[in-house]
Amino acid sequence: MNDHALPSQFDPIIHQPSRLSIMAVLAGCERADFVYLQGATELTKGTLSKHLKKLEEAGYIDIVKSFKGSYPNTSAMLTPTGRKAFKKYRRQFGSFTRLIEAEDS
Amino acid sequence: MNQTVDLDGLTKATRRREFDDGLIDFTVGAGYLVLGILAWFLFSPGGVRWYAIALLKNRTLTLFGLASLAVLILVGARGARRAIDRIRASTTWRVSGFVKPLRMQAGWPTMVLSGVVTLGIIIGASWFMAIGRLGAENALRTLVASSGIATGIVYFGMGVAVGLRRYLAVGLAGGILSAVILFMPLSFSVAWLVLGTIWIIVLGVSGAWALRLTLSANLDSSSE
Repeated sequence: MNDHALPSQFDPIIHQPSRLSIMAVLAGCERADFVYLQGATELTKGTLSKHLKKLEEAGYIDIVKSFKGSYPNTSAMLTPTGRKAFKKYRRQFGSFTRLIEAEDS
Repeated sequence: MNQTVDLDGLTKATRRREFDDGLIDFTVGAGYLVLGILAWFLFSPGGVRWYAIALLKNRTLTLFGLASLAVLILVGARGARRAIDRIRASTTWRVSGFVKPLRMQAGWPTMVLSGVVTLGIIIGASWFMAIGRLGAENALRTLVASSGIATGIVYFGMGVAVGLRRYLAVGLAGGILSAVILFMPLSFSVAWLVLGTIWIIVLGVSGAWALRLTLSANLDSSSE
């Protein structure tokens, strides 16, 4: 729809770098656990938890708590809304970058 | 600030994770070999004779046996998947975290292209057969070759989609070697066996390469 959005019009939930990293990782899988997310995004446990909660509140991810053997395991997955929002963000961001590059050249 | 987040890199690295250790390559290669051996047996003159005799003796039991074989293959594939998950859970992924891969790794354009190429080869072969320029055995062989070529296209497309150079090589090598079957004087049954052998070799080499890298990376990180 609005593919030439300005950064101020980007989805603020996703635009934040840490949350953007989480969304990018989750876009590449059905589900990833906390340990993998922490390694891939290089966030601390506390920061990762905080941003996961924010994304969950926005309805962009589901958090599943389970057990792997006797160890508790937390994993996260994009919801259909989250996947759609991430796609839209990428489209807008890509379009904006191209616009800037065109203006520069 | 978002320029610092490598969106593509993060997504592709996560998608690649399923293939990083090469275990999937061994499984798919083994699957191809099993299918190749089964098809070789079922389509060989001896196999066809055995099947015909079995059908005459007990039709229900024979059909049940064949259906059981199909179920056994599916159960085997599922078992292999579980075994891989267990190996990973107790070794590499125990430390680095667990990822459930996307169901569709190659993407629609690749799947459509591979389907179109397969159909094209089959339609072409049928046309050549209809005008009498291709024998039945040669036409049947195109079925085998086209399934190998289609697999090669899927692997190449997957290599592009997830940024895995190993799969570009697998796709090219497997696809080209499968295409060679078109020009070899092989019977339909032997062509299946050759196809299975091609893919177990190509994927076996690819899997061994990846596993070696994973193991050496794990050794390096544990010795640090």
